[in-house]
Amino acid sequence: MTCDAVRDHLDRYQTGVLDPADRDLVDIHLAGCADCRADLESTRFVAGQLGSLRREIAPSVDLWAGIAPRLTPQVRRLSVPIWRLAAAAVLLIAASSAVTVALIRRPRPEVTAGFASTEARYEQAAFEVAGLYQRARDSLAPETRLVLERNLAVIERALGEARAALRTEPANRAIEAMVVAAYQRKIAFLERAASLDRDS
Amino acid sequence: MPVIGLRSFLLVLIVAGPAAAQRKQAKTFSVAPDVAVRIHNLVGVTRVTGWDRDSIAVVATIPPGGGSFFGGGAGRFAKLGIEGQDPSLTGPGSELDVRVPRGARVWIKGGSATVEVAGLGGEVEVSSVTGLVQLEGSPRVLTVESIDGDVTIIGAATVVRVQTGAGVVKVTGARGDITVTTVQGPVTIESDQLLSARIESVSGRVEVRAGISLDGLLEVTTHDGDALLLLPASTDARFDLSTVKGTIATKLAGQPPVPAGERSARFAVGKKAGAGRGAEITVRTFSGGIRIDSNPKGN
Repeated sequence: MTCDAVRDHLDRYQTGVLDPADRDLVDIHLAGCADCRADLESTRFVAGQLGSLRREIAPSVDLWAGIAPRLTPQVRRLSVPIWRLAAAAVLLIAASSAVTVALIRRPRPEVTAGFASTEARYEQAAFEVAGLYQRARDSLAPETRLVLERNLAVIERALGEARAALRTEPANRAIEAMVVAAYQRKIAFLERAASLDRDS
Repeated sequence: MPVIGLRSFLLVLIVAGPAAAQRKQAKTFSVAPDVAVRIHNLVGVTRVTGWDRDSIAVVATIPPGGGSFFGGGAGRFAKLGIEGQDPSLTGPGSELDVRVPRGARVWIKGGSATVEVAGLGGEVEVSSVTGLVQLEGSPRVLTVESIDGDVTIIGAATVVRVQTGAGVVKVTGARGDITVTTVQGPVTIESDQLLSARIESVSGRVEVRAGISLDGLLEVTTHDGDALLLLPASTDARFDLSTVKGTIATKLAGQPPVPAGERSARFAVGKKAGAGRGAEITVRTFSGGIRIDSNPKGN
């Protein structure tokens, strides 16, 4: 079996749906071909990433059902004595002031918290573009998919390394910039990949 | 028929066979000198050459199964190419030889096809997947987007934008504004006077052999690809180098080398840079090595 033929089979091979005869031939080829083994690794990696994507993003419950009753004016008789309410208010003010002071005094890396939300936005954007690519993927030629996913695997590895370094040095702005650049690269590449058409 | 004569006859048949099976079509049409042309050929070779006439001339050579030629246009718009190609077909694919006015704006789509462009002065945009892209000349704006193809650019293009994945990118002679982005592909930039260049790669090696103009800007960013800058001894620039896990090595005329083990370095070389002006050179890597040397050839 040639490398081209093996690459055509890799998707079905790694998902276990390749028929046994072809599977044996692919096994034999993979045993002696480092390039195709690397392609298999890339295919597995990307399949794993894509497999973890949700098909669509929708609220898990109908929020309106919970909101609508609250919008209806409701009159309730006050059954608690006024002095109890006053005492509760004093306690609440004291407790919230204590929490506020504790939060202000706590040595907290503001940059990291800010960056976490930045990263979350990039992650969401990458997730959405990955969904677009997933929809386009099946219509692409197998060799194009392979090329795309090899490159995506490299981008993903770089992103993983930069994120790991940031966990070690959470206040390092240079690494933050690298994480952002890696996300931007991933998003840009996925956008290009998703825009390729059947002819490609 | 004598034996030698018969052999010769058979040889001619064998050689002529494939050529005879190819279809050749030619078409010429008049257009404006700044015509916008869209060219489409996914498998094979597309050659586009600028000429000093207000017309487009196309010769299409199409092998069996290589699709069919289409083309037409007038005034400021034209469209031509090969349609109905099967991208999975093996073989040389279809050849398109196209002459267009030198000032034309040209858009070329080539999946795995080789694209060769020469002699154009307008805007050129090439969109490819795995095909080689070779451009010569001085277009005003040159944009190449590929997924995996090698890209070679020779000439003084004003604006150059290149994106590829694992393809090798080589830009020689461009002086204006250059942006190159690759994933794994190595990048080489050679120029006697760069005005602005931004080069970014994940794991590709970046090599710049160039003079940087006094108000120029050079930015190189890689993840684990090495960055090598070979600059002329006359370089007048402020340097900002940093790496997270890589190394920095400098060997510039009149400047002490950055001590081994340093992860960042900022310094100025030259009179204007010493006064806070001069070019700006920034190199950032995650784990790639950074090396800045004076170019022994002087550029």
